[in-house]
Amino acid sequence: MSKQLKQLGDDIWKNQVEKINSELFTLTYGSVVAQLCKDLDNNYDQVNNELYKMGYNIGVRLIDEFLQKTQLSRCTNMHETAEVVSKIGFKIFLNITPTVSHWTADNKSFGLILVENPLADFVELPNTEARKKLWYSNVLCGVLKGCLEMVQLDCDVSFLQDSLKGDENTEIRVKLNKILKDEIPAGEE
Amino acid sequence: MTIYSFWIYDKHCNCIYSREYTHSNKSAHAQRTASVLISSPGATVTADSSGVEMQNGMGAPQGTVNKRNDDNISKLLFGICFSLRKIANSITKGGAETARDGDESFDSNIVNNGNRVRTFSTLNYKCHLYETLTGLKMIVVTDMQCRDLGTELANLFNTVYVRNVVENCACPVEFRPGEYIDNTIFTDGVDSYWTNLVEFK
Repeated sequence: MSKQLKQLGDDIWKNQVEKINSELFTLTYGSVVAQLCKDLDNNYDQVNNELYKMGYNIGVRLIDEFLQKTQLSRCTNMHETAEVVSKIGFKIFLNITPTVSHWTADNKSFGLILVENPLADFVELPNTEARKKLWYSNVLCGVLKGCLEMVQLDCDVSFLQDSLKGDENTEIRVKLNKILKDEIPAGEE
Repeated sequence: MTIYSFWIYDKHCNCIYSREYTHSNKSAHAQRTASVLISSPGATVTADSSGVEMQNGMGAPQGTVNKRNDDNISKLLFGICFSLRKIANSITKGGAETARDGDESFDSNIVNNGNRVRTFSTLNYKCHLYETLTGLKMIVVTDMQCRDLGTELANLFNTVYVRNVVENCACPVEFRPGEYIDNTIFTDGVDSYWTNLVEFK
């Protein structure tokens, strides 16, 4: 299963995805973050929130493109979801494959370790408050949140550590809260 | 064979797009069928109705766009599909016990995984259903001799919907009540998709 997913991810990346110059991408994202810091007077909590919101809005659209390109059916459990997110989701949109790790005992929460992070190439955080508070790539959490929510998985997604801050790894934590029920028409019970 | 109407519902159960086609050279049978579907008080679909009229050019289809999203027909159509899906799911519920121990498995009646309704037909017409994992439902109503258009609906989603709604920054993907897909590129895309099928007459 895992091998098939990897193969599928590779195929889609090769044949179906429009690609842009990665430096252009990195620099554009960098200037977005820098501008946000300026606009919000270096209030890094707000910057984090704003990045998260931007990501969320990307995610709710991106999931449809994801489904269109992959033609996958619904995952049967959280383990499969984690594999699909890493081997296909990250692969086809960012050409990276984060390592899935640190499962909790209840199988509801896992970590994604980003060995490389295209958003953070060439980036150094100034040794000020930014280094303590800013989650530079927080847009990724928002994207994941938006995507998963659209397929009825209500999750908490946040950064646990970031190598930009001097941490050992860059790790995103995904925790399943609940499976959302289908909405029913107004007036039906 | 004929395509009568096409509907899209979002995951909040609102009809975000409705398109009816009026066929000028209808057979008596088709006319009867169509009038069953479109007869409701005060809403007649004629060439001079207030609906958004398509130019009666070469092959451009006539009919209305987004004129019936909130009327009873739309709600009943959604209701019947909703109920059928529920029934289909509860029929297969017993067989879906594949959860591993200690593993929170997704397949349950909460998540529509086990069973799916593809089409259903009545004496006069046939409905084809397609639902994406994100909860978008697409329904097309045709005459009853028509083959299963499920794959066509999936294609329509993959090409026209993703291209013109999802990838279109000017078009929302979360619709408030009373908000519809009103961009003409989408309507044109849908029209040309259906009219290019042999089923459209």
